[in-house]
Amino acid sequence: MSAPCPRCGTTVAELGAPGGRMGCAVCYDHFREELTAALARRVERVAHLGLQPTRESAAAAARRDLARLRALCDRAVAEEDFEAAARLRDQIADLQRQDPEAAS
Amino acid sequence: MTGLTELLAALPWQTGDGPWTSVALWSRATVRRNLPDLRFGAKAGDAERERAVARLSQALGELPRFQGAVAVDPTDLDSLGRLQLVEAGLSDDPDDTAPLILAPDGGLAARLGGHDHLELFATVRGLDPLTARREVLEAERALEAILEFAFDDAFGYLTADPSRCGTALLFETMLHLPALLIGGDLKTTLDRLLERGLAFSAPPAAAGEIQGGLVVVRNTVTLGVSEKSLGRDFAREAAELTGLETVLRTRLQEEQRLPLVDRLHRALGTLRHCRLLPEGEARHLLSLLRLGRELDLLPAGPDDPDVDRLLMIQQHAHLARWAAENGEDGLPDAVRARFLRRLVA
Repeated sequence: MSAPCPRCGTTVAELGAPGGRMGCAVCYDHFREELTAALARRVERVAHLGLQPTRESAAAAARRDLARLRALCDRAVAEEDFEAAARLRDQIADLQRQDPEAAS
Repeated sequence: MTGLTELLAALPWQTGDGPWTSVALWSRATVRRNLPDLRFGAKAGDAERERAVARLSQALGELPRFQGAVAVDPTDLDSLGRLQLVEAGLSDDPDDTAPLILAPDGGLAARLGGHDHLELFATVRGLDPLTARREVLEAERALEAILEFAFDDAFGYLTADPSRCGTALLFETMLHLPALLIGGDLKTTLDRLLERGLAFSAPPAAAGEIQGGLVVVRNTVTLGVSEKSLGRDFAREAAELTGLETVLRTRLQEEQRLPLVDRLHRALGTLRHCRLLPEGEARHLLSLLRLGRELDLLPAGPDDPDVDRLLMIQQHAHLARWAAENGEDGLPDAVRARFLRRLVA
């Protein structure tokens, strides 16, 4: 069973109680597995098909940058350009230190 | 508290013309949003809640539609005032202390710092959920350009109630279904909605009991579907219900005219002559008066009050306020009977 949400302290038991509510945005990430399973029982697709934010949040931008760097790093390794791969790994580590949420 | 009563009486979607008002009193679209860096609802302390309210109030103030908005702080109201908000359909809970901001035109409103940081809702007269959707999403997009809302690629917009995430868009319409009630088909028809992703309930102030065929219908699924198809599907379902009620009214007139006319006139007679009238019975009688007027079987004179207005004012808190302001005393049921006797003369 998941530990309480690190930000607001919400527990799985609280969420499972009638009328259980998320305590913060981090809950959605922290309880992602449990929530996905619960929602899958009541909706056809656990996927957001509606409006998107019109501006990219800092976390979303960091996630996007991280994905791009990882792809470049993989390509550098495949091409045996180990110097470039090492440089990209350093950049990835820096980004993960700056924004641990984006690294998850 | 006269100000509150006048404010609520001026809500444009409570009375008047609109699409299919013969059956639908109003339609509403609500979106919920939260600020990503602050805890939600009960998990937020007073300080965080105040920060959420302050940031959202400031952002709302930048929207043209909210220029000259009216703020209603339930903590400034007495218990009757808070109940009036419920009776007017602006709150679900008389203990709710989340401040409300009403656009001057009364059609758009925001509740701040409740379970979710923001509940933004547009309400229109009659059966018109798509107009309500357009209005609320226009305002939400304008806010979204100012504020960042909590969002996840898979779960969409994040809400305190996880079953509301995704679009976080709720449609509601208040329907008047007396022919279904008289024909004994209301319960079956409403139960069938549950299989189609909809839910129903009594109006907020009706203590959970559906009286007079007055029922609020809403969608239950908000994730895995776009705002567009959600609105389209809801509008179709609500239109089907409205169509069914309309067909049954016609059938009642054709096949059971005399019993129907008798029932309507008995209701009118009771409203005109009763001495004690509980709220639930008043709702039932006014429902029949509304049906009679819609079918032209109880024609309204030019000075007759709007039945939808009576349905609102006969409720406990509105009536208590009216009694206090007009020097009326006595048991609430006696005051209600006196109030309606005068107006349904």
